[in-house]
Amino acid sequence: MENNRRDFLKILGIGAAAGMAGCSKTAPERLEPYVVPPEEVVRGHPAWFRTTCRECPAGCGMEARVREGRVHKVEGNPEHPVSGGGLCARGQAAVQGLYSPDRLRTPLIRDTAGKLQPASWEQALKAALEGLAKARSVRVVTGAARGALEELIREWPGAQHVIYEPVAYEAVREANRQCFGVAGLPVLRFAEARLIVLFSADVLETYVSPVGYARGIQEARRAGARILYHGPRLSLTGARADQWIPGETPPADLLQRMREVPSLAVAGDDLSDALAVNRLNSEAGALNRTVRFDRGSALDSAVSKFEAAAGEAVVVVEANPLHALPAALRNAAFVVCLSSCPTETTAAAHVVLPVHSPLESWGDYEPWTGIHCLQQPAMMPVFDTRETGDLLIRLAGLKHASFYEYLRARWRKLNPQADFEAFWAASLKLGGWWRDVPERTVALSAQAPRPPEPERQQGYRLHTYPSLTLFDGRGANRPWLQELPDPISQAVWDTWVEINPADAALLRIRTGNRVEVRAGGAAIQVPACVYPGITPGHVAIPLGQGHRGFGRYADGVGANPYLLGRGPVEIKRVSERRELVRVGGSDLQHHREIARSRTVPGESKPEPHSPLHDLTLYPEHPHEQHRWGMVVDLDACTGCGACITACYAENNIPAVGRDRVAQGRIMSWIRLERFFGQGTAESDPFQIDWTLVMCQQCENAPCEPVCPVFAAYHNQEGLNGQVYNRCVGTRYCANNCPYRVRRFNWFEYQRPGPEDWQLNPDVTVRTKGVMEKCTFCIQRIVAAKDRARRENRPLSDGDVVPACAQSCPTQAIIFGDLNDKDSRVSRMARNERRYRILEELNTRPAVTYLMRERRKV
Amino acid sequence: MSEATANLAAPELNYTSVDRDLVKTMQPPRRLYYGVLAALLAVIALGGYAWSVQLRQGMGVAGISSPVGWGFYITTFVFWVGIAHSGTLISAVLFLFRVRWRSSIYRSAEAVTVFAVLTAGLFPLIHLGRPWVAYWLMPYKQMGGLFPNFRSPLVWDVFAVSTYLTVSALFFFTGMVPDLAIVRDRSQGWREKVYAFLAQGWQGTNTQWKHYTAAYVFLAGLATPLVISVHSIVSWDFAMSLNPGWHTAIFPPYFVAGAIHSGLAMVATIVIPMRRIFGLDAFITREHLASMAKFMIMTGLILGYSYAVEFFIAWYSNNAYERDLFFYRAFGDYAWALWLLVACNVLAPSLFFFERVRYSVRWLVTICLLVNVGMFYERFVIIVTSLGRGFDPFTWGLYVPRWPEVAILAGSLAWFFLFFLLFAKAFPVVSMWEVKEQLPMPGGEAGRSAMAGKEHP
Repeated sequence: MENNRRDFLKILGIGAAAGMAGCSKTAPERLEPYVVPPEEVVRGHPAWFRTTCRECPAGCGMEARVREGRVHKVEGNPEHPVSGGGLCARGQAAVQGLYSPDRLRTPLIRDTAGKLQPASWEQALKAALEGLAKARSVRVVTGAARGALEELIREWPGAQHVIYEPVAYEAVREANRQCFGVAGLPVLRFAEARLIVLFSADVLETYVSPVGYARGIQEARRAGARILYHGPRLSLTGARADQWIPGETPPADLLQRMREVPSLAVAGDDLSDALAVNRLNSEAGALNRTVRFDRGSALDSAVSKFEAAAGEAVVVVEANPLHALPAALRNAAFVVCLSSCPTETTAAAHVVLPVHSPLESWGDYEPWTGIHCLQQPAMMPVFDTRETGDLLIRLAGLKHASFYEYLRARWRKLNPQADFEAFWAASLKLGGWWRDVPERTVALSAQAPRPPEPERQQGYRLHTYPSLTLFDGRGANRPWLQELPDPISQAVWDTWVEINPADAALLRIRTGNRVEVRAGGAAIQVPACVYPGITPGHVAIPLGQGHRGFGRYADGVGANPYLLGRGPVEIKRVSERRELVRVGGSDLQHHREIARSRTVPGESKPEPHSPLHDLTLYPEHPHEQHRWGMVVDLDACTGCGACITACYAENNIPAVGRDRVAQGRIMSWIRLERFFGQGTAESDPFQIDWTLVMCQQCENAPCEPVCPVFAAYHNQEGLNGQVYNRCVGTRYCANNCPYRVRRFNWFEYQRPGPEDWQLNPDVTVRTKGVMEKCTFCIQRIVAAKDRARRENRPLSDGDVVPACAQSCPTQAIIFGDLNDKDSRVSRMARNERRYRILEELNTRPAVTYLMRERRKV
Repeated sequence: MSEATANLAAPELNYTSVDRDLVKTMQPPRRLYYGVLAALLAVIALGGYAWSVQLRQGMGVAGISSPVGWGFYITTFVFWVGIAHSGTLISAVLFLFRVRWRSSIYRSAEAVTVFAVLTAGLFPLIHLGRPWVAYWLMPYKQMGGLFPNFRSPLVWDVFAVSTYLTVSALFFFTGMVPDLAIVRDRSQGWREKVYAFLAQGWQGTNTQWKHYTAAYVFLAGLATPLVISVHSIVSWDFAMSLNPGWHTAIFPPYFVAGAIHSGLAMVATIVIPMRRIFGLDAFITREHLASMAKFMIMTGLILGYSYAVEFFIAWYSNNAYERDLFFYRAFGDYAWALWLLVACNVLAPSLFFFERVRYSVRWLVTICLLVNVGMFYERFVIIVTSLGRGFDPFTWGLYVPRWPEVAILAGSLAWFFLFFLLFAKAFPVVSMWEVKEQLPMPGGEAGRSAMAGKEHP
């Protein structure tokens, strides 16, 4: 966004257009290509619109890339205080929510026979208003919605607002209330801590604000911080920690160690852990320093359970309570659902009103007090849907002209001193407006309870955790997320139960066997995943699957662990078939040192696996201008998989489905290779290392000479080019690639409309029978060169950012020109932790890895 | 004179009886022939259907995937190229060495060669992701001056296989010319015209014979190096890559020995029933069959040695990738295939050391069928285990063929036998002129002794 005037006009133009669109019925016909394009739209050049990600309550900043009036890709907003430029896999998949082929296209009304029938907007609104008028009271259910929407609902006469989030951290908030008198979530300043202690808090995966936390933790790591993970299950976050302490009770000297350096302890959603953590933070001096209560969270008023009262009308706004609480609306007299996609809840509603997806609508969101994030439509609505706020105004019988005007009026009040139009435009450009808040100190109350002794119980203890990919279940209809392998189990398109090898041996269960998990009178059947990272006596199941009526990709996949009751868990094998689809071939590295790590202090820098002879029969490749290279810092990589999904979005990679993944036909250009390893010390019984593997763009590429038709060739800038049109499909290149990163198009992959609208116009959609692989986002290299040429300047370091590197919350992927000795990538590639995968084969890859460090705590 | 001589069926062999008996094979076929023909066509149709499904939907209908991108198709390709070796070996190399037992089987062996190459040639097409652009592998200027990549072993394959097909077809045809003249002389109507064209005006004059034998020796000389080169080049498809288990210098000789082994087995598999059906016991004696069996002892031992050397080098080189791979081959998911192929290719042919086995038609057929199976699995093990168990353990995977691959494999067998079936009725299956060459001139002593095996090396 170099040209301020033009950007300003762009935003104004779209703002005005979409604002008016919000008032009127918009039809998909309005997405026809321009005959006379608006002045600010240049064909072939992307426009960027900043908005806010609404895929989880974190509220990360997002930029939507728009070409010819359509959003193709979303990326992180580097100026955003919550996320700081990264965007997780779920955020990347927001476009699949926008273009979901299962989107609701018309309003639906339940007929006398009890079936939902399509209806006109007039009929549906009439039915909704009648139903609401008849009800005794109105309850509005939304997800975390602090901002204009929440205030609007507050204006609804007599309506009660329920903020429903399946993962609401109620135990943490309750512990904070008991200890500090604040029933809210704290702001965690990871960056300032040097010892981070996590009590089953998966802060790098789904916990409250994972992208921002990952960035903070990485900042702390660079300054030498150590991470301890305490809990019964080694999660991805735990695997990222320097040490995992699996026992029931934390180590006795933990407080002593926390006192020595600036520290920070975080508890997962467990009251006993949270009480212990509050005491630790308070006694170690972390309270009011790294753990602060200055800003309230949007989750502070959220509940994970509610039940509609008898005779009540319930308006459910973009929430799906019936997945986790099948009985929540049992007593409701009338249910209106405002939703962009079908859900379990829309299936039970009396009236369903289709609304814009977040990328089509206006709004704002305040994840933390004072962090006002703006949401603006990045494109015209795909279907005949309406703005959520406008519908609420109508249903509540309010007098506001439109939600857009309401939003602007609210923002006018936020910053009354400023010239509003300038403030509004600047906020849209920035993605929001953030203000300082007064400091607030809290103290441990004298009545703060001590954590109770862990209760002994029969049977297994069940841990359900939000899935890294599907979160609480709302991502289940996004094929990119279904196909993103869980980094720990490496499973796709399924639910599984993790079980310790010792327990599994007792129960005669092997990975993939279907088992029945019974708890509190309910049972589900899922495949088992034998996992040494869960302590004996415990089992864990990810949330998110087991949907019915949620869309074509989610239905019938996996099982719904929300349905399980509380109490001890029984497990029994029901089938010996191997069902779980996992992507990894071997859990062990077989001494091949693909993913390397070292323990410091103690272990020295990596031993290079130099090839015996650095010989080649062929002349060296000249790289006169650029030689592109990449560094992957495995000490920064959190394993979150955001890069993988970003790559799917950028490079038009198809999701192929469960059965085809089972046959080894996953198309992802990047993969996270997770390996189990045995720690040396007794306190460190089991550890996990991982690495990212994409095309290594070898200098001596084994794929190139074997291609009979030069479809694989070496370009002047060190890339292993792949000419799709030239490829005849011998697959020899893939056979000869020691990294096995080449992907063959086994089929012609179809995308049901409007999913195909997401396709990036800069990247070819490959046909069946051709080979493909990571290109280092060559289209971005070309675009950056064009931009530099237009601006009459040489290409400078940082001009080219591949999709994976852009998305990474911790900047673990660095890309640049290896010919430029001062470029960031060149400097990083000289780091003493450097190594290359399978270097001994003399392939001379352009990707350098920096080995991971385990710091002794 | 042992069993072999005692089993010679024909009482007397002379020029007339040779002509008569051998042209008899070309009599109009019986019902059974048409039944077999229909069955073969049906299996070919099944294979063709499988290919059409694959063309329409994509390669994904087959079981190949990542990491095993080559499976049954390339296995079958190498298998048929291997089969094709016996023909040239028997007709050209043994001709140059004046090994006389070749004379009654070389025609069939050459037919096996030509038809096997024709079958093998289908598989590079079938396994291509986009077979409709397969012609880009041909060496001509394309897309504004681009030639194929001469560094790619696949392009070498194109040259090797097409050269081999050309030379072996020429050799096959040249060897048949004098016999075609005999057939021409004995047929009427349109057949006579066809055979007259094919016989190219052969009159059997002295000059013709002089030129003919010179040309034949020349062609044999041309074909001989191909026996070595073709399968060496095919083996480079693997040896030139860097996969563990593939990247090894022993591959060319090892593949050539394997090819001859499988080729001899296939020739025996075909010749034995043919001899029975056409009543050719007098021409193809047990002595001939036993000589092939002896040859297979040698090739089997070479193979056994090669297998052992592969394992030895994997251990001796101290290369972790090689060591792990060979351990996997012996004890991993496909260990059954490895032990099966060792049993079929090395142990079973070793039984030919026993004279009784060598001269027993039943044993011969059984062992040759086993060798055919074993040689298929040898290529299967080489291809599948090396690809499935590469450098990066995360990418390890398995391969299970699916129905199109099995159907196409069956179709290829039917395709091959169909050619043979048509050949058996259209051309003399045993070379009349070379058999006669070994008989005394008409009016001389009885020709039998010349055909008796014991006098041959």
